[in-house]
Amino acid sequence: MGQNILGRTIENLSLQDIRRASFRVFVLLYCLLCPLILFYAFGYIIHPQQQKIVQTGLVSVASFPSGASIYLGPSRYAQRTPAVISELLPGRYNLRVSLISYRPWEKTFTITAGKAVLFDSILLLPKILTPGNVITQPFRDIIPLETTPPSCILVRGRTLKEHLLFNARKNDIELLSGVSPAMLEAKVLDMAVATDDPRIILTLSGRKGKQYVLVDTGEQTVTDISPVIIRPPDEFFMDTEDTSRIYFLSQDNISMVKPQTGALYPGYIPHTRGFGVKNRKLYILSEDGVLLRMDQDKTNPVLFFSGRSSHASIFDPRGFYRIYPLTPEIFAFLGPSGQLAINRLPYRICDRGCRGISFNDTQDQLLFWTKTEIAAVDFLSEDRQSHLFPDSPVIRYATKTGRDIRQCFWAYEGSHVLFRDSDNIFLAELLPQGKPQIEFLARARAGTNIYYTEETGTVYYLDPKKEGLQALKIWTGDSSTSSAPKEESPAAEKQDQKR
Amino acid sequence: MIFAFSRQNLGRKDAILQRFFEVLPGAFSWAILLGVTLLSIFQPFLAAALIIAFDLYWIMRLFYMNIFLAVSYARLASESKTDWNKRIDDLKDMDGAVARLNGLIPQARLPEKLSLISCRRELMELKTCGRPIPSYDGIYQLVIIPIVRETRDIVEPGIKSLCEGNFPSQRILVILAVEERAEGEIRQASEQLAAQYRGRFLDLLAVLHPDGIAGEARVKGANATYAAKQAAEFLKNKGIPFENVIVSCFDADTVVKPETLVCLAYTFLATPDRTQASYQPIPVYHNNIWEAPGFARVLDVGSSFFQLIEATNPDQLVTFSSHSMSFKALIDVGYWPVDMISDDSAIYWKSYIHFDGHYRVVPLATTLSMDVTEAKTWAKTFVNVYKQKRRWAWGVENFPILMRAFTVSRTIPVSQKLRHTFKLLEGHISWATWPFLLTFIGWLPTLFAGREFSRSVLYYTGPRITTMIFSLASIGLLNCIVLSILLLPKGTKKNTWLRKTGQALEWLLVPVIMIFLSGMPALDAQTRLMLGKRLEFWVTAKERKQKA
Repeated sequence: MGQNILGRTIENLSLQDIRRASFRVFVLLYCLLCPLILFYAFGYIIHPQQQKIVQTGLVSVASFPSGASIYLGPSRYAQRTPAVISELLPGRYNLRVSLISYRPWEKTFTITAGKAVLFDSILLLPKILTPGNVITQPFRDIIPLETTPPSCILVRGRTLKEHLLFNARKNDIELLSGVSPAMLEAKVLDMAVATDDPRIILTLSGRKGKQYVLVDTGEQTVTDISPVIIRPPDEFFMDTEDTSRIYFLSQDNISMVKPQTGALYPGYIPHTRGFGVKNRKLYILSEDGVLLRMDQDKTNPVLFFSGRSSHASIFDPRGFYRIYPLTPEIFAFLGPSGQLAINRLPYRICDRGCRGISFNDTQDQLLFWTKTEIAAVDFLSEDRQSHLFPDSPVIRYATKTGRDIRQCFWAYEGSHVLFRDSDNIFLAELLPQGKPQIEFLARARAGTNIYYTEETGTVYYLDPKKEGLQALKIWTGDSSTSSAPKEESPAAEKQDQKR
Repeated sequence: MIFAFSRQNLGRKDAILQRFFEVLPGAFSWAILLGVTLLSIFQPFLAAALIIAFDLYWIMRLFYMNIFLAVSYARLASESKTDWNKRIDDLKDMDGAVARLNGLIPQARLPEKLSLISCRRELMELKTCGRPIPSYDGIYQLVIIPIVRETRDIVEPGIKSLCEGNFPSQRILVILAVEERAEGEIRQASEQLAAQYRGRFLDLLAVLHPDGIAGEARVKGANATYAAKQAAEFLKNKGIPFENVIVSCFDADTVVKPETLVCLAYTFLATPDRTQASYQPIPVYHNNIWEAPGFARVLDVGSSFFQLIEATNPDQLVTFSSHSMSFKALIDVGYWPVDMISDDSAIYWKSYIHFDGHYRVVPLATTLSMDVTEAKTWAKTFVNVYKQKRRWAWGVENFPILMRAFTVSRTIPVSQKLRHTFKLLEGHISWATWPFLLTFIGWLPTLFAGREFSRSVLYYTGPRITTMIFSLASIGLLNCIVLSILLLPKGTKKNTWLRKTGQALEWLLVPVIMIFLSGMPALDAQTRLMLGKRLEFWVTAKERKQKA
C-alpha cells in the first residue's frame, strides 16, 4: 500500500518537483518555528490557566554538596541541584533546598519577567559541625599568612622559636627555616604581612636590641634588614611581583630597601599622604592631593587625579592613607582612623572604624568591615541603587549587628563571608535578593585569630578549652589550587608565588 | 551573448564594477563574523537571538540536505545495475521502449522502479521535443587529461579504465595535455604512455602546452584549452563532426567505471538540447581511500555528498572537477578560460552566459573515482588539503565576472539572475562563515556575558536550545556515516568491519575539519580576492604511498 503511494508519487513528480515542494515546506516550517523558539528563548509561554502569552523568569539553583532536593513553594521538583527551573510566572516564590544530614536552606525571592535569579552558591552546612583536631598542643594565637601553600603562624610564646609555621596542605608545623639560633631566642614585637605575599617582616627584640628580619616563607629565606632600617618604620609595603624591594613609611616619607644588596634609599618618595605598591608600580598620593602612578624607578608617571576639591571630598585633612590598587582603574584608600574611600561615587564608603578590607578579584568585590558591620562593595553590579550616580558600585551588607568583628575572609568563591565576631566564627551568605543568611560555625579561644584558606575550604581556630588547633571544613575548596603535592620543587614554589 | 569571460583588459567602468563584486563576498563574510562577534559583546540579547535563528536555519537546512542526499544516493543506487547499452538501443524505438517500460514499472521493485520511471520520463521528454537523435555509433569521446606534476602511477590507471570500459575505445580520443614546464620525467612518462596505449584508442596524443602564451595564466584551463584546440584539428582532419563529440576534462587521477562513458553517451543522446549542456558525474575519492588520513577522507567524502545533493537540483547545478560537455559547445564558447583557476565551474558560467541562460548541467547517475589528497606525512597532507580547498573556494572568482555579465545581459531572465546570484553568494558566504558561527562565534554571547545578560532567561535558554539543535544534528551525521559506508568500494579485502567502524568514528572530526579545512580556506580565498591578492594555481600533489 505504502509502496504503491510512493510509486505513484514518484511517477507523477520529478525530483525537481519534490525538491521545490520540500523547499517550500521547509521555509514554511522555519517561518513558523523560528518565532516560536525565539519567544520561548526569551521566556514567553502560554499561560496554562489564562491561555494568554506571558513572559516568565527562571531560577538557577546550585548547591554544595550537589544533589539536594529543590522545593519551590509546596512543590518538590524532580530535578536536584544543580538545576535550572524555568517557565516561572513573575511573582514571589519560596525556595527551599534540603539534603539529608545538612541544614536546610530557604529563601523567598521575586521572579521578574525575562530575568533569571541565581542561587548558584548555596553552601549547605552539616547539621552537626564536627571540627577535627589538627594539633593537640596548645597555642596562644594564630597569625594568618597569604601564601601558597596556604600557611599561618601558630604562636606558642613570645620568642621566635615559639612561632611555628603551619602548612595547611600538609597539616604540619615547622620552625621558620633559616633563622639563626640567636634570632630564635629573640622576642617577637611585631609582624608585618602583606596581601598575597609570602613574606613577613618581623620586628624582634633580642640581645642586639631591635632587629628587623625579612622572612620569605615561600623561598624559606631569612634576611636581616636591621642595618638599613634607620628609624623605626610606621608601616611596611611589599610588592608580590618584586621581592627585591621593600618600602616603608617613616613619618611622611617613603624609603626603599633592597634586602639582597642591603641598599637603602631614604626618603625615596618624600612628603606623601598615601602610598601603595602593586605589580611593580608605585601609587603615590601627594600632599596636595595628586594621585600618581609611576614605575619603581620613578619614571613614567601617570596622573590619576589632582586638585584640592576632589582631595577634600575623599580624604581627611590629616593622616596617612594606605593605597590599595584593586584593579587598574579602581583604588581603595584606607585612612588612619579607618576611613575607607574609593575612587568611585560615593567616594567615602566608610567614614570611620574600618578594620580591614579584602578584595575578590574574580568578581571585583571589595569586602570591608567595621566593629559591627560587614559590607561588600560590588563594582560590577548592574542592579544600580542610585539612578543619579549610575556608575556607583552597589554596597550589600552581610551584617549590621556584629558585636566586635575582628576578621573577615571571602569564602566559597566569593559568595560567602566567613568572619570572627568576638570569639564566634560565623558564615554569612551574600545573596542577590533578601537578607543574608548567617550561620554560626564555632567558638574560638578568646582573643585569638582564626585562619581560613579557600584552597581547602577549611577554617582553623584554637579550641577555647584545650587551645589546640582545630580545623572545620565548610566545603572541598577551590579545586584549581587544591592539588597538594607531597614535595614541591623550588620551581613549582616559584610558580606558586607568581600566581 | 558575446561576453569576454575574463577579468583582463577591462574598461574603466567594468574594472570598477569587477573590483566591487570582488570585494563583496569577502566583505559580507567578514561583516557577518565581526558583526556577530561585536554584537555578542555589545548587544548580547540581539546576538543570542540571531544565533538561535541561525542555528535553527542551519539544522533545517541540514535535514533538507540530508533528505536529498539520501534521495540522490537512492537514485545512484537504483541506476547501479542499469544496462546503458540497452537504454541506448531504446532510443531507436522510443514508442516501443515506453510501452515496454509501462509494462515493467508496476511490477518492478522500488529501486528498479525509480530507474525505469526516470528512463521513461527521459524518453517521453525526448520524444516531445521532436529533435533528431544522432546515432550512437557516430558518437565520439574526447578525454583531455591535464598533467603537470602527476607521475605515471597516477595517470595510467585512468587510461586503463578508459580502454577497458564498455564504450568502444576506438571511438575515444585521449589527449595527455602536458605542461611544457613539467619535469622531464613527467613529459617522458606521458610520451611512453601515449606510445603504449595509442593503438587501443582512436588515438592517444601527448600534447605539450608551451609556457608563456600571451594572455594565459599558469592555470589548468590554459593547458586544457590548448589540448582541445589540437583535438579540434585532429577531429577536423578525421572528418568527425564536433556536435557528435563529447569532451571530458578529467583530473589526471580520474578512474572511470566501465559503464561511465556509455552512461555519459546515453545521457548525451537522451538530452534534447544536448549541445547546450554539461554532464556531471558524481566524483568519489576511492582510488587511495584506505591510505589517506582520516581527516582528508572525511572531507572528500563530504565533497562527494555535496555533489550528490546538488545533483538533485539540476536547475542550479554547476560543473565541478571532472566533467563532460559537447565539444561543439566548448568551441562555440571559446574553450575554457585561460586565466582562471576555477576552470571547472568557470566553463559552466561561461557557457551559461554565451547561451543566454540556455545552458544547464545534467547530473549523471554514475560515479568516477579520484584520489584523496595525500602526502608523505599527515602535516604535509593537511597543508595540501588546505591549499586544495582554498583553490576550490577560489571559485568565488566567478562571482564578479558573472555579476558583470548579468548587468549587461538583457536576455537572461531577472528571476534566473537573482536565483544564481543568491545561490553563488550565499554558497560562498556560508562556506566561509558557518563553521566559525557554529563552532565558536555562536557561543560568544555566553562567553562575553555581562552581568545583565547572565541574569536573563535568554542566557540560560539560548545554550540549551543550541545544544538541543546540535543533538538533532547528530541524526544528520548518522545519515552521513551510513551513506559514506554504503558508498565505499565494494568487495575489497580491506573493507573490513573494523575499518568501517574506524571510518564511522572519523566523522567525529567534523567540527575541526569544518574550521580548519573548510571555513578557513574559504575565508582565506575570499579575503585574498577582496584585497586583490590573486591566487596562484597550485596543483594538488597527488602521491600514493608505496604498497608493501
